[in-house]
Amino acid sequence: MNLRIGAFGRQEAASAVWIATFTSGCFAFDNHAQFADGNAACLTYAGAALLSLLLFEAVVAVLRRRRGRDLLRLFGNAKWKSVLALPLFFSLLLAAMQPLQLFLVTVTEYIFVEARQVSICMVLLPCLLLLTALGAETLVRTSRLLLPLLLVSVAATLLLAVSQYRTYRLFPIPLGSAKKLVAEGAGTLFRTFSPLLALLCIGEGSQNVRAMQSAGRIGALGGMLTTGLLLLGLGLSFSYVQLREMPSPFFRLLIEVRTENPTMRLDRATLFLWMSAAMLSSAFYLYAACVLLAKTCGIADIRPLAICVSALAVTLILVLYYDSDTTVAILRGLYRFAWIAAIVPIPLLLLGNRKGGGECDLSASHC
Amino acid sequence: MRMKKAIRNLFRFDEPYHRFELKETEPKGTPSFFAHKKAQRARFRAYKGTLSKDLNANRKDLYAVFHGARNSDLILRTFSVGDRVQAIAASLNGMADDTKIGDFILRPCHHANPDLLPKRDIGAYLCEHVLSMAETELSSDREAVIRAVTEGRTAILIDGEAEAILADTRGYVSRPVGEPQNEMTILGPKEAFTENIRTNITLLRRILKRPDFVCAFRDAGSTDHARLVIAYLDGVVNPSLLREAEARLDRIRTNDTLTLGRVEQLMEDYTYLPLPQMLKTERPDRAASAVLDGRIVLLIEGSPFAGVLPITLGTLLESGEDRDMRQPVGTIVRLIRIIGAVLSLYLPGYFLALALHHPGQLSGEILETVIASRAMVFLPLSIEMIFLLLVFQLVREAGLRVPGSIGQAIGIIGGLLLGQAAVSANIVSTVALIIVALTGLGNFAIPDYSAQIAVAYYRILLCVAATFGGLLGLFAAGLCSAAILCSVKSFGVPFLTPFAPVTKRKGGLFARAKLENRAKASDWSNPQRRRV
Repeated sequence: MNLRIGAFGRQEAASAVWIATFTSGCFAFDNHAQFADGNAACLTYAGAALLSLLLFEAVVAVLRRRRGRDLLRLFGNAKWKSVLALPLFFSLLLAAMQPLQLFLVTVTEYIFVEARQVSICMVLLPCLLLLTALGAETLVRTSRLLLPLLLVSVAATLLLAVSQYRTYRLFPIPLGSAKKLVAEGAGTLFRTFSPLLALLCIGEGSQNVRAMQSAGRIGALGGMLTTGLLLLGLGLSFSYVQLREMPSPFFRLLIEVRTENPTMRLDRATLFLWMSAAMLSSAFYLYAACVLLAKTCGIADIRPLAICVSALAVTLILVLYYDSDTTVAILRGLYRFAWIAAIVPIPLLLLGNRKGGGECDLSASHC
Repeated sequence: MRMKKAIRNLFRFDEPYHRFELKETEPKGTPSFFAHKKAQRARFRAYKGTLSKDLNANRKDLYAVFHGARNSDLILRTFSVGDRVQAIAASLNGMADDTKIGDFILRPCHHANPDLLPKRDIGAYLCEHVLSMAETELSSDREAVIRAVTEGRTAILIDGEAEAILADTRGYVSRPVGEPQNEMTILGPKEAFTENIRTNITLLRRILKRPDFVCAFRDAGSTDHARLVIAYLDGVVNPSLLREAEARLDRIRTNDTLTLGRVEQLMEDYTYLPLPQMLKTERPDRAASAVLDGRIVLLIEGSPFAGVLPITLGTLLESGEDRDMRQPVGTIVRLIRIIGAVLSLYLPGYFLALALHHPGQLSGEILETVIASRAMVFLPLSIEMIFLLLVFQLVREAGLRVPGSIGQAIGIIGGLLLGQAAVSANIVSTVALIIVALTGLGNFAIPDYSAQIAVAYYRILLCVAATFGGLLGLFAAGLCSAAILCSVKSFGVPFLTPFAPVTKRKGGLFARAKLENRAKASDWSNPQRRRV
């Protein structure tokens, strides 16, 4: 088997999850639903984050009991494993597409206004191919390198924007419409759980389940905190009506910072730094999706899959470009209900196939 | 061959990924401890056998093996021991010291008392009572005798004896120990390695006065049978790393003369990576420090450098005198060096991206200056920048190849006159010239020469990326390079250690850590024991 999972430590895995959680949380596609009747972003995000962590803990507890090292162990020898793997694969594919899609919109709307989407994708594709094909070890190590830069840039942006924060902009909080909140929370759940799902798929590379668990906890909590702070900053800087109409509010925040501080002409550099983080997290999701598929179907080498899946993701981004009402409706539907694909198979895995759980190939101390 | 293999790997997906990796739990598939000895034996298989008791037969044999008819270097000096027993001293001209042979072998043998000579075991008697040599050994192995002669020792073949005396008469002309040319320091020691492997070992041994410091001689693997030394601290160095290094050396089969640079290329995993995967240092103190750190040092005959393995990116950015400076000053110097390296890599590309694609990111004043300086320049900005970067490299290469003061003069002429003339002729703009000058200065701040060259050419690639994709292209290229560096391992150690992966570090990369009284090796090479 040449799956290129490699071996990685807690800090690296936590960094990958941190970055993926941050990018998935911030570069959300559907602002319209999040800010429909007020600023529900922080509220729904907190709820979804809590649920994701609980789900992750449940999976890890079952893994430890069954002495497995990754999610694939839960599939065991079940005949229906590919049926369960497919929705998980598609949810990871969607999770990878989301930040890139938003970036494509931002870049074509604000930066390279006259450029065609295909031209931008021609830059993204080779990068994504390389990152996905290099494997988990490389991805998590690159995340470890990028995380400090990302955190510094987020902190600097939030601090430089302090002068324009207004508390009243956070209101109204739409507590009244519980049904909408739950629906929005379910959509957010997909974004908060995807990084942990990806980590569970590549858990074989971590030292043991305990290391994977703590990496997941630290990474997810850190990423959620960073996302929460940025969402709070956005909520304090713009009203919910403004946010509802903005295709990429985080870039607007960067522009505001630059307007307030003309000497700090780093908005584009910061944007592209965040874009690098988004690319890295997309590659992380795509790689996890490839591992899932490879292990389920018994494919020996990850590279052909990585190439195909990366190309598929970029093609889908191009096909479903945010330029007509139909595609926007399709995308909103996809991202709103993607949680079904990501979450529903998990309880089935946890409850079913108790006897057929995979055997651990390491000593008990490792598990 | 490697290219063919790399292309084949691109299209074949069924091959397992089996690069050597230094793990805490070592895999079972590592080469056996005696692998190198087997390989060496195979190499000398043609010379297997024992010596004959017949002196004439031995003489003819040596004459044939060394192609005596054409090889005038072979000296087969016939003499008699105490006017009773015939003997031959076989040596190679230029490799063995004539004075030693004359004074300590021939003269004592001529003056030996024939009455005291035994009828059997004359060799052992000569070693004990006649020869005034410090290092002698008896051997009946034909291969050992041939090897000894090629190394500069003298083989004394005695009539009626199937054993030869191998006397150490090595003494060839070599350069005296001088000052380092490429790693000059102000506070550090001024000694440098020479081409003589024995002198180099002595230089190391003078620093490392320890019984566990091992210098193992072996064949480098070339057809010229160049000697190579693997130096390490026994009990500290990771045995798996040592075995892997030996196994890789065993795999070397070349018809080329071997230098350290060639050995590095034949041993490394990532042939197409511009950055070196072995540190080449000419400073004995730096090599000794690496040995104490649990790493392996390679010395090869004829090469005035020592190869240190494994290395990380941080090793390439460290200078020999970093630890000699005071901590705050050392930190500032190191930070300046890193800023220089980053400027050298990204400044031209970043400037191109801003000027060509994102002019709004430049202030009005800077933009006006750029426009004014480029008013009469006919070349596009990106071509101008790449042209200037290449000219800079040209001046540097020319300066390096020209001896001494003329080289310095070429640098000044290239830098001042050519630059001034190019601006006057409207071929280049002053802004581009300033950017390239800053880039060049930053490049010189990188202490390792191979890394300097790698950075110098890689930044041209970044310029191309920035020209076509602006900041998007630049960041995408930067991300890909970071990922590639993260995937690289130098002899099993990840190249970006101790940052990715994180390990306990002996000193920081950005800030030099305070020196402490601790006798511990760095843990990133996973030494056998950390306490040195």
